[in-house]
Amino acid sequence: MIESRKSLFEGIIIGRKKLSDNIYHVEIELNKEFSSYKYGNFVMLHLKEESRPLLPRPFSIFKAKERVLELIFKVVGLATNLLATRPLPYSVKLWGPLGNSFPDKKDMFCIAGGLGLVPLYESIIKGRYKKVFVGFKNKDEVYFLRSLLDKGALISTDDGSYGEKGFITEFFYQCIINEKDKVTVVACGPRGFLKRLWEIEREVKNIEIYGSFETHMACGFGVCLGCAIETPKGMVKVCSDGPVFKLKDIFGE
Amino acid sequence: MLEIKIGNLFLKNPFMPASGTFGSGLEYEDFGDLSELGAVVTKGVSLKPKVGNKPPRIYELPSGMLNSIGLENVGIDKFTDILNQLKAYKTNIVVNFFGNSFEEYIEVSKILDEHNVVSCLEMNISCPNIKEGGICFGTDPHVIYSLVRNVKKVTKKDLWVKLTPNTGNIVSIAKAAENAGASAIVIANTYTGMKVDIETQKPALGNIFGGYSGPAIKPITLYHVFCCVREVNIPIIASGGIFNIEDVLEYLIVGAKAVQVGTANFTNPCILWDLIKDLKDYLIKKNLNIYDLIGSIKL
Repeated sequence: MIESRKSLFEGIIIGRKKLSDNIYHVEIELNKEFSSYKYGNFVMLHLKEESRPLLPRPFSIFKAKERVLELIFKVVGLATNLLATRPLPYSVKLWGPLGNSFPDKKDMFCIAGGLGLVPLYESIIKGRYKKVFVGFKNKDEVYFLRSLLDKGALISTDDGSYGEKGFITEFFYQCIINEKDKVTVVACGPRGFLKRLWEIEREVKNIEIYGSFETHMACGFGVCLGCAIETPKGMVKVCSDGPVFKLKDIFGE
Repeated sequence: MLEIKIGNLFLKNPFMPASGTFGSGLEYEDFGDLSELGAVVTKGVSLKPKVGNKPPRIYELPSGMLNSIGLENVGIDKFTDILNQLKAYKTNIVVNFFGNSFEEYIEVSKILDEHNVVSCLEMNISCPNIKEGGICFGTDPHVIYSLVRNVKKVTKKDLWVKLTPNTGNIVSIAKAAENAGASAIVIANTYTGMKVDIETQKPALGNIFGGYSGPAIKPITLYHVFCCVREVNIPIIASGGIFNIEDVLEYLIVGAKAVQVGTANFTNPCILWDLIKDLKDYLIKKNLNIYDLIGSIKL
């Protein structure tokens, strides 16, 4: 279910900061106040000044307050490259908030891989989780380190260049197998990362993991049906049935 | 100033979405008042629910997009619940429908005919005729004549026929639809195309091929509209790569009476409302009525 009322915004990118290797933070001034959103919601952003790319791109909401929306993205292709390099101020069109959100339960755990930190960060800072796990590829990709450490997050890098060495999913695994009570976990990261978490969920049993998924989409609100993915229960739309799903609903029981 | 008549339908303005890019219309409620549109054209519906094609279903190209959604829909039974929600809007509700056999087309038409909410039926003929070895209905004038005639027997509502451009003889298909009793022709659906990933050597779409839409197709569809206007007398509704007011004006000038906006709904969910305003402003500035523009091409 879509939980907030979506609307269309004209935006101007007024600030841009390089956070790490090829990860950028932008501040977008909007023509009106951003409606209330929930953790996990996203926006569709269209580069209206460009002839390419034709279609908008989905971005997780990092923060939104009054008339300023903040996004964080990694340069992965044409659209993100333009967002990282075009001279400011730079005009864009966007609509949202879109999609569903992460659950809000007591004593949840949170695990993020790489850019998966973006939709979870604010809730981490607000102290929503009992335990926080964040994994990065290497030291160059680490961002918001201080505030994560302040919240007692366990941090790992795949190559050990910062924090613990290894995949964050494995540190999560070591911790979760010792939990006695049932734990709800929220997760965001690459598909392989979510798949590994699903394997852990199947083994440990006493946990329920919700993950946020991504795929290519054209509209962002259930119209084009281009973002459908196959699950054991049939097709689901990542944009409007998700982007947050129970991992077992995507990968199987 | 913007009002037009298509068959028995009065439209406040010549703007409507292309089927499949606007859901049932309700998904766009947050972006504008549906009652302000000339018509709402709903996503194609069939007798039975259809799960659609294997993902990936969309692929973006420099000036357009490929899609192979596969006509996913909930089927006519569930769809009628949605129809009831559209009652609240004071606009024409045009229901796009399709089938894989004559019988399916006729069954769906019968059901739609009984719904007061439905202003008009739009027939999608770009799908395969399962009984005839999967050949697309829309490529044979004789098949189209017979199909339209049979559907017309079961509905008193206006019937629009949406043509496929993937045929060498779009004019003869248009004529066949007209002769069989269609109220209007919609030109046209998407162009069949494909994309290959050179690294994996696999097709980019799960379905191998899909329909190409977007700015790239506009000159081609404009040409089809131009050709058909000369040969048929019923109104032509243009659909293909409309992204701005200039595109709209071109279609009207060659003789289209109304336009459908498709892919552009994804790049700006308010585009239909924006275009209504743009056309109004243009006509005021030029001191024209919409009928002064339609078919005003100077050769």
